[in-house]
This record gives sequence, C-alpha cells and structure tokens, in this order.
Amino acid sequence: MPDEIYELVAQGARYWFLFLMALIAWRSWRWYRRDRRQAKKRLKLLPDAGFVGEMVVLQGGKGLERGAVLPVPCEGTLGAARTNDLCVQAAGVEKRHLWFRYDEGRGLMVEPFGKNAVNVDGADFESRRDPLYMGHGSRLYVGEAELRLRMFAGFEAEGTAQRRSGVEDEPAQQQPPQPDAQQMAAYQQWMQQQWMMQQYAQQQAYQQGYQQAMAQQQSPQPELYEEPAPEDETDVYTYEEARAQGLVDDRAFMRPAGEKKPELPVYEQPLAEPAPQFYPPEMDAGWADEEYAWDEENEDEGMNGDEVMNGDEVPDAAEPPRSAYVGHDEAERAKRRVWDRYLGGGAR
Amino acid sequence: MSKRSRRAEMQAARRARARADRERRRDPARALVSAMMLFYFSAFLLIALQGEIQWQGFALAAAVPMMIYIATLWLPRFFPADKLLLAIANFLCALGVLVLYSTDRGAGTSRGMQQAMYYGIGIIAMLVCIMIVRYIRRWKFLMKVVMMGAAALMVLPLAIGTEQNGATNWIVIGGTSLQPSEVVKIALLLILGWYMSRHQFWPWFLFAGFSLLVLMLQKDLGTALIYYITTLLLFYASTGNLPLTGLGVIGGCGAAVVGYKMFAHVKKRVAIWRNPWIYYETSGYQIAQTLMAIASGGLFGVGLGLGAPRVIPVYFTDCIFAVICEQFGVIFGILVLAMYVILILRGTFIAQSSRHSFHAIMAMGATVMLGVQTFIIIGGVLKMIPLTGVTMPFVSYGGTSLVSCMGLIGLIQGVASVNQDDLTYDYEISRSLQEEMLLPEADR
Repeated sequence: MPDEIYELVAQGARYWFLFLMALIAWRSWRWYRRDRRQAKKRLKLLPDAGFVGEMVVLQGGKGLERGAVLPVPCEGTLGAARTNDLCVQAAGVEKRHLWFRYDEGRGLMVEPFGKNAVNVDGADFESRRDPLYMGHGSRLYVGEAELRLRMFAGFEAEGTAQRRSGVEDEPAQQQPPQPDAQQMAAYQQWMQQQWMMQQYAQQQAYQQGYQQAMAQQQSPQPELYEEPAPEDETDVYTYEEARAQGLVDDRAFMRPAGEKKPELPVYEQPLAEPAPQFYPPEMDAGWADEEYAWDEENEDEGMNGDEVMNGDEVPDAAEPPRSAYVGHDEAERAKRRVWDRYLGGGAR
Repeated sequence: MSKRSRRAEMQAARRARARADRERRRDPARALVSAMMLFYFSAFLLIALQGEIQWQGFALAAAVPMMIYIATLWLPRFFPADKLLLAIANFLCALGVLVLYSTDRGAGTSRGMQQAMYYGIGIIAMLVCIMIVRYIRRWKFLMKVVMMGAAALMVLPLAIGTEQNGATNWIVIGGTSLQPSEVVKIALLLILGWYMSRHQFWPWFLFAGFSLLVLMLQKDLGTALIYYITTLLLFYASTGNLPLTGLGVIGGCGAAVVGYKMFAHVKKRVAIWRNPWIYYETSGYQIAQTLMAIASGGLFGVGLGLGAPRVIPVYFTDCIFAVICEQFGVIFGILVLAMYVILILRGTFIAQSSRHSFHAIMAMGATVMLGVQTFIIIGGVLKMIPLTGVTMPFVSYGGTSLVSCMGLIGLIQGVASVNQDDLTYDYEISRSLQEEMLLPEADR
C-alpha cells in the first residue's frame, strides 16, 4: 500500500483501535465487578465455606463469654488481638498466641508463637518436631481459657485427640447400658401395638374419604371450590424459583463440559417412607418402672445447629460432627467426587 | 408421532437453541476475547499492508488472535482457571508483539516475531507453574532445593555474567542470554510464601537479604527495588506487624539515601529525573525523547506504524510505553494502565479468596511484584520517579522477562484453580445428587 494511503488509513484506524480498547477495558472491568458480586452471593449461599469447625468456649474471660462459638478456618492465628482469626480475650492469652493449620487426615495442628504456653488434651507443646494436633472433641488450654474443638462433617481427623491423663471420660461420652431381654420384649410389644394402631387409623381414614367421595358424586355441590385470595406480591423467591426464572447465575458451579451427568438409581416402585427408627431412651434410676415413650422434645437435640446459647448453657462440644448442609457420609462422598474429578483421584 | 406433537417438539428445540445462543452471547469471556481477537486481527492486518505487503503480518493476524483464543478459552477446559486474568495477560503479551512488530518495519529487526515465539514459551511456563501449584503437595524438602538452586542462580552473573546497560545481571548459555534474577522471582515467591505461612522467620529473611545483597553487587537497582518492596509488603500481609514493617520502610529509605551518596550513577539518575533537559545531549536524551514521543502522540496517537519510535534509546524494552502512547495516543495508554489495574485487583481478589496462607501469600506476592514493576517502569517513563532499567510486564521485548511474568501469572492461576476446587467441594457437599442433575453444562 502506498505510504500516503497507509497514513490515511492508519490515522482513521486510530479511532477504531481506541474504541476496541475502551470496549476491552470496559468489559474486563464489568466482568471483574460481576465476579465480586457473585463471590459475595456465594458466601451467603455457602456460609460454612472455608471453615473446618468451631471452637466452643468452655471457659473464657472478660471479653469472651462461656458458651460462645468461634468458627475455625483452615489456617489462622489465635490471640487476644482482634486481628487474629480466633480472638480469645482471656487472662494469660498473648496478642498473638498461637497459629493453627488443618492437616488432612491428621487434624488441626497447633503451634505457639515464641514461648507461649499451649496445652492440648493435657499435652504441652514441646518442640516443632513434635507438633500438637487437635481432633474432634479435643480441648485447647491457652492462658485461662479453655476451648473445645467441634469439627464439621468431612473434616474430622482420625483419632488424633490425645486424652488428658487421669481424667475420666465425661458422662456424655459413656455408652448407655443396653436394655435386658425383658425390656426388649416389652419394647417390641409396644412397637407392634403402635404399628397396629397406625394401620387401623389409616384404614379408617381411607374408608371415611371413600364415603365422602361417593356422597359427593351422588349429590354434586355447585361451585364448592373458591379461588384462593392472591398473596401479596413480593420480590422474595426461593432459590429454585429464582433459578428457574434466570435470576441466579449458577455459572460458577457448572459441571465441566464433556462430563456425563451422574446416573441416578432407577426405582421401579415409588420409594417407601423410611422405616421409623426407635432409640432406647436415656437410662435413669426409674427407667424400668416407667412406660416407654418417645421423647420428642429431645429429638435431634444439638444437631440442627440453632441451639440458643445463653447463660450457663454450654453446648456439648463432643456431639457428632455437623455441617450446615449434610451429614458426614454425604460430605465424604462429595469429597471423593471432587478428588476423582479434578485431582485424578490423588490425595490432597 | 402426530404432526402437532412433532411441531411442539421442534418449537421446544428452537427455543432451547435460542436460549443457549443468548447464554453464549452473555458469556463475558466470549465477549471480551472476541473484542481482543478483532483488535489484533485488524491491527496486524493494517501493519501487513504498510509499504510492501508482508506475509509475516498476515500470519500474525491469524496466529495472534488464535493464540489468545486458545490460551484464554481452550486451555481452561483442562483445569478450572481464572479466565479474566488469562485474557488480560494474553492481551498485554499480544500488545507487546504488535508494537514490536510495528517498529520492526523499516528497522530491519525481527523483534516482533521473536516476541511472538517467547509468548508461546511463556504460555508453557505458565502451564508449568499452574501444575506446580496444583499438584505439588510435599514442599518441605523441595523448598530447600529451590532455595539452594535460586541462590546459585543469583550468584551466577557475578561469576560468568556480562554487563548490559551498567548492570552485571546477564549470563549467556549456549548463545542465549538469560537474566537469572527474573527466574529467581518465582523462586522468591515460593520461598516467601512457604516460610511466611509456616511462621518461620529466618529462612525467608536470610534468602531475601542474600538476594538483595547480590542484586546490589550486580548494580541491578530496579530488580532490587522490586524484590525489596515485595518482601516488605508480604511481610506485612502475613504478620500484620506494623512497627517492623515501618522499620523496614525506614531502612529502605536509609539505604536509598546511602546509595545516593555512595554511587555516582544513582546521583546522576536523580539529577536527570529532576531536570532531563539540562542533560539533553548526553544522559538525559532518553527521558527527553520519551516525553517528546508521548507529547507528539497526543490524545489519539499518530497512527499504528507511524511516528518515530526508534529515536528513543532502548524503545523496545524500557520505553515501550512511550511508543504505545505515541502510536495509539494518551487515552489508549491510560486504558492500558487500566488493564494493569484490573489485573492487580483480580490478583488481589484471588489471593484474598484463598484458604491456604501459602497460596494466599504467593498469589499476593506475584500480584505485588507485577504491580510494583509496572509502577516503576511507567512512573519512570512518565518522569514521576527516576527511570530504572526494568521491563514493562508482558509488553517489553525480552524472553526472560516475558516468561517470568507468565510464570507469575501461572502462580496466580494455580491458586485460582485450587480456590475453585475448594469452592466446588463446598458446593458439592451443599447440594444433593438430584440437584446436581439440574446444573447447566459449562464450557470451561
């Protein structure tokens, strides 16, 4: 191309390049902002994300009440200063007292800064070559504070907690005595009675419904059905509704391309209701004399994570591992799936 | 099957296709990459038509957009990567190739083609760094090996190095020049990240101190400044210890004053920075020409392939930002700076999202290093600070620099992919298998 014509074209193209550059910068910025917003939303959807467990305060100090629960991240520091991941304001706790790290399969490694004193389940920290590990239910003593670790489902270590020597296991961890043959026979008889009563009630309800239907067929009532009053329109959607309407961007959680959908088990018959499970009630002195009854008030106590902590009511830190979402087995299955999918089945 | 049901099926399929098209159009990665590809296709096409038609230009017009597409949209299919970071890094690399190729015309050099080759090598280096971060788990022993290897590399120029532009920081191996301090950047970040995350002070402190000492002996002040600021900021990020960090800042300022008093060339640089026009005929010529080039470009530039960039000494490395401003204009230059800012923000975001302090410190370090390097060179070109001889990340000519910058991006990408794994795990345990069936298919 002759130089004069090229010069003209190049000078004209300046604006085209500037426009494209502005477009590129704008799109990059918008993408960056969108991802920031999505990250915030994701945090709301996954409140437990990044945490491996909780520290329950069994004995605190002025700034830390007994019964408080401190979420524990994968790695972090513990100390009296607010900049720490776990802020424990109690006598004898330094500004930066110790740091911890979660090791897969071994538990929460704890190491003090400098010469600060740390004790886990009765064992003092001695050297870096022999680190302290905390498992589910381990107790941590820093200064005058006493904390107990409760790990989430999928993060429990395998028996790493060392027991304090000379201290007996707590009553909560003792196995309840098994009922004898007579008690079991009474219990089974009671179960049979319950089952028969349930069957009878179902049969009655069916017959009643059938008779009502027949009566309606014989003398149909005009316009019995009334249109329900319209509910107040609000912007509140459930997550599934919002996703169905395209209001939720799920792209961050998409399945990689080319990956097959998981196969669901095919059931030929509709799934039956899960069989009722009965647990023997807690043993006490007058158990044998009392009539066996299902204790509904204590059902799943402490498992739903919304227990109220007030006063001296301290949650049992040794309760089974929990998560905001699922149980241990499902968490383990999910972990396996992630490993198989992204890490070729290797251990992390 | 009846006609009506077939028609309904076809309508449903058409609606599904339309929905998929809409989704594809909304995908920010595709929108951004398509704009980038269009930019480079038209730019290289224009350059190819300058004077006699050059087939190399046509080849680059096809190859560079293709490389951007592959590196940004195709490679992330193999690992969960941060596409925005990839897109920006690729854009800046390709900008370097474009500017160098445009200045090659009439100069008889082939820096543009060489830079394109280095760009390919840089992508491989990035992949290697991603693999290192993702798959190496046993760092304890490896870190000692890395430390010893990096220390040996650092002292190599003192033994067999050659002097270029006043600094003895180059070695020649088999006819290829190499700047070891650029490679050691990655090792430095690994070492700082590992030992800082383990709260072990002396190993990283000794290594950083040793590196700074060697760089001072090599008179490579720009790189020494990058190492120092990165180490200091990472120390603050990992410990939050303000008094010691402040002490480090004071120490750095003291060292700068001592360096000013001791070294004549430092004094000279400061004098040139204060008033380059007095030294226009001699040592101030470079910065004066740089400022004139930026001024002559004006707001919209003189046009791609036009102007007189070759008048500026070392226009292809230190002063390439002045060439960009001259050819594309000051507004374009500001937008290029905006891309660097987004890259730094993104790197910080990735570091913040990391759940492991080793990864967080490493990603933060890589981001800080890129940011500091960009500030030092662009600040020098714009006469905000004294000009020191460092390269503009991704854009300047130089294989070692480009490969090391892509390696740094690889470290950040590796951390981003680990973050994505962690997030996926969280998501997996929060959803049941039935819900997973409803998830849409992604194209990552």
